[in-house]
Amino acid sequence: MTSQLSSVFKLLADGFSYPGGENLSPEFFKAVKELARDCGLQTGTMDYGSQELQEEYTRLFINAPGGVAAPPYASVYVAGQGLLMQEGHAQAQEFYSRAGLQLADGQEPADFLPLELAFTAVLLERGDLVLLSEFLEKHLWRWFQVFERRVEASGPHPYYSLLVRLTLFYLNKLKEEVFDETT
Amino acid sequence: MSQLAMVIDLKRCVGCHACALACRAEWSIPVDYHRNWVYRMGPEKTPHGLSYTFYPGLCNHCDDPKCVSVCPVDPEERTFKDPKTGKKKTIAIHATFKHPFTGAVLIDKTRCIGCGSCVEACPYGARYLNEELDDPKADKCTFCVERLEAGEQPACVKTCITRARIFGDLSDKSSEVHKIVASGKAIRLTSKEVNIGPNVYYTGLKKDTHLLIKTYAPHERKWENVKAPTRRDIIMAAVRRLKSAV
Amino acid sequence: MKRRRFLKLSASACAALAALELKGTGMFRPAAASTGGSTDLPGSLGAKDIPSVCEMCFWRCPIVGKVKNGKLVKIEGNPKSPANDTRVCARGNSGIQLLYDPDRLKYPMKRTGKRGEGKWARISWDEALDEVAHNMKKVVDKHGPHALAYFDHGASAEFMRGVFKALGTENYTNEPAFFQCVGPAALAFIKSMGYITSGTRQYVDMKNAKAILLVASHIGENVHVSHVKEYMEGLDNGAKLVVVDPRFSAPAGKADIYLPIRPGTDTALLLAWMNFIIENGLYDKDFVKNHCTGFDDVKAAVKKCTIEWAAPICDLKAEDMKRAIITLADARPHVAIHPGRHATWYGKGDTSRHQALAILASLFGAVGVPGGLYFPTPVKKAHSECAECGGEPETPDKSIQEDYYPFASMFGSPTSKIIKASRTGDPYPVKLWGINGVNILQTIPNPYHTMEAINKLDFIFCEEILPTETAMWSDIVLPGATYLERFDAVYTYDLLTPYITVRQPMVKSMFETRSSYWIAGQLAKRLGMDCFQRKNIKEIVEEELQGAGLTLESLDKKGGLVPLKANPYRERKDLKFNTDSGKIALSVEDYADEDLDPVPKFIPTPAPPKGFARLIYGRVPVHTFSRTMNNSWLHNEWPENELWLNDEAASKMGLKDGDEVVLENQDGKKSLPIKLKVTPGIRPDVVYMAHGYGCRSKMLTKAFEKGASDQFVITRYENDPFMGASSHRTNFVRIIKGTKVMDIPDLCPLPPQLPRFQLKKGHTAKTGGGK
Repeated sequence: MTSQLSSVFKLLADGFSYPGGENLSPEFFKAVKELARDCGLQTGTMDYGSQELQEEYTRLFINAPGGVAAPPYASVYVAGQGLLMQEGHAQAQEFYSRAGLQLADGQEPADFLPLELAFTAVLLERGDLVLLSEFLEKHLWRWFQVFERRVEASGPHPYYSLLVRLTLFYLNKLKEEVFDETT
Repeated sequence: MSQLAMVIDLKRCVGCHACALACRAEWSIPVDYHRNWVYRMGPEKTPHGLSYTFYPGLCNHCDDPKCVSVCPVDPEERTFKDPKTGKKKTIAIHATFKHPFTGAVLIDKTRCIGCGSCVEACPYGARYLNEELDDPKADKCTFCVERLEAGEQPACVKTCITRARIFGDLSDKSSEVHKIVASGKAIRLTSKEVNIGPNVYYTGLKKDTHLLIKTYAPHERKWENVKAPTRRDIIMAAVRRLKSAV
Repeated sequence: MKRRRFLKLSASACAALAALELKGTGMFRPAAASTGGSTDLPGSLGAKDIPSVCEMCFWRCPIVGKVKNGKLVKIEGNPKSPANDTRVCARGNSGIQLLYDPDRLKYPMKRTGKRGEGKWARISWDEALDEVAHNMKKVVDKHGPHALAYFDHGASAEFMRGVFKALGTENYTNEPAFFQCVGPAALAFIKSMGYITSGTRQYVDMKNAKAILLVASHIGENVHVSHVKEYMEGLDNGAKLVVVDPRFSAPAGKADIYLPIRPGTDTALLLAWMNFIIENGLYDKDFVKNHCTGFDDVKAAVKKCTIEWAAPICDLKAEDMKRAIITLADARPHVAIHPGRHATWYGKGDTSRHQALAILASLFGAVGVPGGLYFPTPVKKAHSECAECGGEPETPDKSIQEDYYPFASMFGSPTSKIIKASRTGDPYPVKLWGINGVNILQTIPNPYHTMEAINKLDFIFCEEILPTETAMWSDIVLPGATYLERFDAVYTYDLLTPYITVRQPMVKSMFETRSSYWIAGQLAKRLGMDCFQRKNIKEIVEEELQGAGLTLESLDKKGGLVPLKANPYRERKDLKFNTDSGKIALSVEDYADEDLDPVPKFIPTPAPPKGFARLIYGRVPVHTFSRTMNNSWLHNEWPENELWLNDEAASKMGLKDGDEVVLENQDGKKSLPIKLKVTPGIRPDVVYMAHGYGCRSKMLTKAFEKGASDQFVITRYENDPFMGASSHRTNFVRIIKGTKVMDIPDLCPLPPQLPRFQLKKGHTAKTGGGK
């Protein structure tokens, strides 16, 4: 069962990566739609063009007038005064290192949301529920809630609204269940 | 007894704020607070001419630190070591205390209950309560004692671009701070009402020290108005501490 | 143990997931050993030290980065540096907050809305570079190479400059650093003394001076660490300080003699001082006779310029003027006549004013001696051919660089003429701008014209670190790596304490930001050029170091920096200047050849019209231009600027310290709101604000609309007739409080020699007929 969930988090990791290629494919949207249905979330036709999603992703997460609605980095939310590479980043790095892992490549900070979701997928795949419980409780679940509210408050495109709600749903479930499991 | 002290030479200070930023960087001080600051004064007329000068400020590590006397945390015995002679001494201290060998006023963060009494008591506004923490603690300048132990200078002294900050041990007759203070040329931010022996001194042109004292010497005996925290405050603090330790 | 009750996925969800190839776990790999930097010790203690070079401003102090666990935790001065040792300024200390600013440009972006609107989509580097190259080719094909123009600032911008140059445009460099700043001073000293006494750096030995003259140089508000350090060492050693400034600046507060001069009359003061020392024999006759030419021309030119003539013009007391010049003369030849830096004040007369400073220093024999102006120490390094691109562009029939101002081409194409050509097609159309490391909308006078010009371009792109106003107006934005994330060229310092050092990355570059070298190389490749094609800039650094007998490794072992022996002074018998005569040219024939005055002449700049005050500006020590306003620590230190207003004027107007006002200039352009600082430390006929505030880019969340921008009320400019720089102190403002337009009282009577600025009809002072 955890391997199924692992795939869900891999999907979410890709969903929060910049739209281009695979995560714009009809198959990808179909999977999102199926998961949404599982969670009881409404979806439309999900017939989205690449330009609209790219513009929206840029506005929500990269650069935008007035500042991006919700920077997808833990550091911004965890006692970091809205800055990158602060406490939230150190926490993420610490968890990866406790799992014996480091980032494969790329220049994204370790606390970039897709990386944290992918890390969740790794822990699920390994069945390391003890570390997962702590990772969620002390880190990802904590900041994701604020992140989710900020995305929702910014009048997001329905696709990203769905993605944050979907992610929150799975994080809540996971936290409840893993936390119960390990305490 | 040794007493760490600083002399800030306003003749040399150009008001560049490097000290304040080096301190912020060294100790990751959140932007809403400061341990070390530069305020600007003037251009303003003084009896000695037009003055445009600066108040580079930090904790004064006072001889009679009122922040220590208002600390409600029960005293506990602790043994201190003289960094120079290795001699040991055991005294009872509150959560904030004056180091018996260096004269630095410090905070024991493990025992601070975050009641904010010391913050209110300081007539210089040198302390803050870090409410960014789940378990808020008082914080302030330590004269960088951690860095001194590692053989480093205080961060503000190390970065000062005009060497306006002179740091040392007042009891050491060969030290530059001692010589300047002994010469009688340095002033302190005191008044008739508030004179608790600050160990940060200022030198400079008469017009500049005049304006500094006029603008920033404290007059309010703030420590006399500090209300002791209630039992409830103390219990709440203990709960907070437990929670954040989990 | 409880039974596991993980939520199940539906069969269709499982099937949909199974059909995908998800990246997921591929984002991680097994951890390698730690990269160093103990995290157990508090603060920066125990961190790994990486030596490099600062770029929070162009002074470029040697620094060390303190790195723990791949994160930069602190920046200090490099203790090996003889120039600044462990010292860095407020900005140097705050570089981390540029590196970790969430507002940073992170990926290449293309504009999807209107220019300036701020609608973007992230694109790949390939797409971005293809787009830029395609547009450059298209514009060249259609309009010829000169339709390209490049605005640049900073050493790393030079690579892309090479690409523009190789495409054949004469407009390959329009450095605002010259045309909005140091140009007139640089030209004056090159022509008089044969070297760039004031350019990026100022070769003036304040440390060993017995007296120092600052004409509106705000040392301390303008912080370049080694410069401030030497100034303070000079004062510590007892140097007398004379400060000439309409405003009581930070150095005025330390001055022995302060002269609150009427703006625009500095040259009158300098001419009167020359006259005084010549008439009273207070100059260095031996130096003038043996090492200068043109003394008689100068003597004749200043004959009528007595102190008494200048006093009412400058609005100074004759006795103070005398006392000051005697103080300076008494210290000769160890007198530091500061050559100035930002010199684009009034257009006409700017080069002359700095020529007058050069002459004054020469009359004192204060050149090549301790305490005077001195010579740069050449520092040996190899020049990498790979840091170059094409040959010299051909000059077009009608040339922007050559045809307007005789000495412009020493610096590039005058920015005001590029903007004009882009707006009007005169003398030829300019259709594409590349911008690198300079925020032109907060730098060049009349930003309204600049925006109009941008709207007429076929294409505009920029390489930037932050989403500045200029980035907002670009079609493609290329995100540059900060100075903390990249290698750069080898840095040499040729002042009193020379050294050689290298900028190197302290941390790996964040997001998809790239170094300027890589960007220029990629662009060159797409344009079919074979320059900048080394694997990376590190190879160039190694090549340049070889010329100094160093390698990166050997340099690192020495702490990242090697101090060198200075050679700033000359015995009198060995003095030789790089001019036609080998001597200092007090009178410059090259100027006369172009029908310009060979010796300085006082040309009055129009005084403020009634009801207005002249707008002057300066800097605060915690900011660099408009570049650092979004830095969270620096923003916190000094979030907005204030408008300095004379206390007497304020009291007559019923204004108080802290009142919020708006400025309106002679062209009816209004500023953002700004708070008043009411002080006796400024003349009543000027108001002052720090430059760089009043950000108009909504993408800079901390800086946006904090304070007011001087640039947006600097709409009127005149060009320096020598080299074409645009003036900045030729604008007049009045104050609006609420809805009330207020006249600034006229408290500084004008002598008849000084004309007033004539307002356009319908825009006169309230008392003179209303708005």
